[in-house]
Amino acid sequence: MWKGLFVLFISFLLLLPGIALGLTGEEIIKKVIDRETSNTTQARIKMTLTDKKGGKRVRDILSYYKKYGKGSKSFIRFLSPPDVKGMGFLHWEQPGKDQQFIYLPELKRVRRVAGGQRKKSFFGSDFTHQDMERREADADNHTLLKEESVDGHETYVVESTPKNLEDSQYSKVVQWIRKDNFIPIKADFYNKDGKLFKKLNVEGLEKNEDGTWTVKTTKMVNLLNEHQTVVELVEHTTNKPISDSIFTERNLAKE
Amino acid sequence: MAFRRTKPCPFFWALLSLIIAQFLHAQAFAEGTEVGGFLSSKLVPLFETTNSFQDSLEFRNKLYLKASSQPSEGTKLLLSGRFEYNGFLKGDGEGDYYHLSQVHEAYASLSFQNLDLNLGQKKISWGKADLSIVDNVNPPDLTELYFIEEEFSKVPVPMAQIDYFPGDFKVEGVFLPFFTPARFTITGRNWSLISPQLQDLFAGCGAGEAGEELLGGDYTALGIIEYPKDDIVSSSSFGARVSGGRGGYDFGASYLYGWEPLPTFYFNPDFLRQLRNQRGDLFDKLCSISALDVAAFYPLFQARPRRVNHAGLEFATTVEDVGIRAEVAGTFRRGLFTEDLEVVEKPLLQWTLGADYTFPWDIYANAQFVQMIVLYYPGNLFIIRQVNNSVVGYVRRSFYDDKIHPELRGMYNMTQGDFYVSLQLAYDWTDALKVTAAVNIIGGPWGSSFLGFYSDNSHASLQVKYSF
Repeated sequence: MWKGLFVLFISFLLLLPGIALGLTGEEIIKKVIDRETSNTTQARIKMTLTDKKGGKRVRDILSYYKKYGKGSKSFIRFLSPPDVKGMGFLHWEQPGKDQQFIYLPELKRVRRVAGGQRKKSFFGSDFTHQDMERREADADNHTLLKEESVDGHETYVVESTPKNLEDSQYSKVVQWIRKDNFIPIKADFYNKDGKLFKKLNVEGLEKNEDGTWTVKTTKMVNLLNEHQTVVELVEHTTNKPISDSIFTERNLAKE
Repeated sequence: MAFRRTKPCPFFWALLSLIIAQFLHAQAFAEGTEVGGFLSSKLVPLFETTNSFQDSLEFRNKLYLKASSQPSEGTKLLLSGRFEYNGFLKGDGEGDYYHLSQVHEAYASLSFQNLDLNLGQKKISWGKADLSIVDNVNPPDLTELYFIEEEFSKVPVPMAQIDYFPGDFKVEGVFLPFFTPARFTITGRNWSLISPQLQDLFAGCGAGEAGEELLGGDYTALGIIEYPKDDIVSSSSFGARVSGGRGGYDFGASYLYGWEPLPTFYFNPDFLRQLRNQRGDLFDKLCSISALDVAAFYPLFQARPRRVNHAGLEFATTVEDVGIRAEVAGTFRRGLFTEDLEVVEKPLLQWTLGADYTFPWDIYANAQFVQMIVLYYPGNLFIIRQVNNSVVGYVRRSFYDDKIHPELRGMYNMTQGDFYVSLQLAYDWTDALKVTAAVNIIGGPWGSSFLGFYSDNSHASLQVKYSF
């Protein structure tokens, strides 16, 4: 009898959708966070902001990124437009502890950025400072909703809700994560009222020689004001040595 | 002052500026050389003119050009120039027009392994607070009081600056071989040290035409300003600062042996003696001395910058979503006026605590409390109390795809209940073209507060700024 029950149990498990047999939502998100990425990236980025009337504003950015153990450091400098040219931004990211600094050329001053400002728009774009930070997996509850094919790629659809609503600018984020490389290629962002208000799409994924992947184009659309931001990688190098001195206040203050 | 009177030629100036701007627009004229800057035009009408010394309308046109070049790794050259064409119209339509052209910053920067060396005329920033009380290396530009562009709020100074970076710290040394005065006018403009209201008082209270002429015209008819000689021994300044960060906390300490930003006015002792013999408050006493008597005391004043020592401590961190900044500053041998216009030397202790926070709806607020304490207070200082508490701050947010930027800014109680409130609305027409309209209200008790002397200068402004 026990043997019969065991066979029935196994048969039941096999009949369950692949979800239950595969990864959980949390495991998928952990794989997204832990996936192999380049140790360094140096890039020239073009950020195009488009309003609902089609008016465009373009920002040219020089960007550096380097891994430091479980953390990372990134540095960006605005090359244009003229009203923000020379402005710099430094981000030291460590698990559970982030530090951000901004350089204001007209004041010749480096300022530490308070956490509250991280929820603000990143220089007029549809991304916030917090969108560009790595969010720890255990900050949210993750649920695998389904599996779906997007543009010919099999994806996991994972819903993440913050454990502490105050800690996040979103009430819910739903991501479409490619099964083959664990890169989110689509995401829906819900505001605190539970309303879908931003949609992210990743285009032009490119595999590097070292096996890591580079996202060439990212588009974020704000559905409420019909504003959108396209971030394009104009040129980039990965895994080339970048001096630690790039990620210092000393460098930040050099226009 | 480097102002020169000239005939009005606004169209020529505007045309020339536009041609230069177009020519240089977003292009490098040599490999590794970048050029940028801005062209701005600002109209400033007063809400009301209450006396004949006020300019009822100011228009200020500025062209700022900046070129930087990096001829080799670790070497950078920067040259910037400032060109102005300004007009000041009285209520009767009479106008004064000035132009100014001067080098703003010009320096070479050399970087080595953990050492930076900067040589030339430049601006530097010390301190963490938005309104820093330890940032005293560059003198201020007071020609527009608080309403000047941030780029021009400080006067660049010739200096040698060495920055040494041992680990997470920065050790900075500055040597300023020559004295550089603050930018200001003594009389004649809305923001002069002797405000139009004060001029009007003197002109109307018995000084008569002679007094009006004296106070409305060139100050050299009244007294002498002596600046230090251009030799290193007698006019140089020097300072040092150590700053760094650990575990999310930023610290700094600085010392500067420098100059007070404005010259101290030492009045003729005979004049002061006669003043003491008069009755009433300071202004009654001043008014009771006739213009002819004033002229007899020539030089009525001898003004000269005073040596001063500044020491400062700085701190910044973030607590949750709040940014915190604090500074403490000690100023030794600061020259202060008594109510009898005598100069006394007193040490000042200042401290400030500021915080910024982003509220829901992306409303950014920044507030700062400043306390200034006059040590060994003599009991009869003009305007300044023993303990002076003031608050400064601003609130802003952006609308319409980050193109409209309303901002409310203000200061209260710098001296005895004075204040200014500024409501500003900026619109980014394009990334390069910004239009800003503002209403600036200034107030304070007359005769007992600093801004009280400028309380008739409340004004509106409209500025168009094209960056390239």
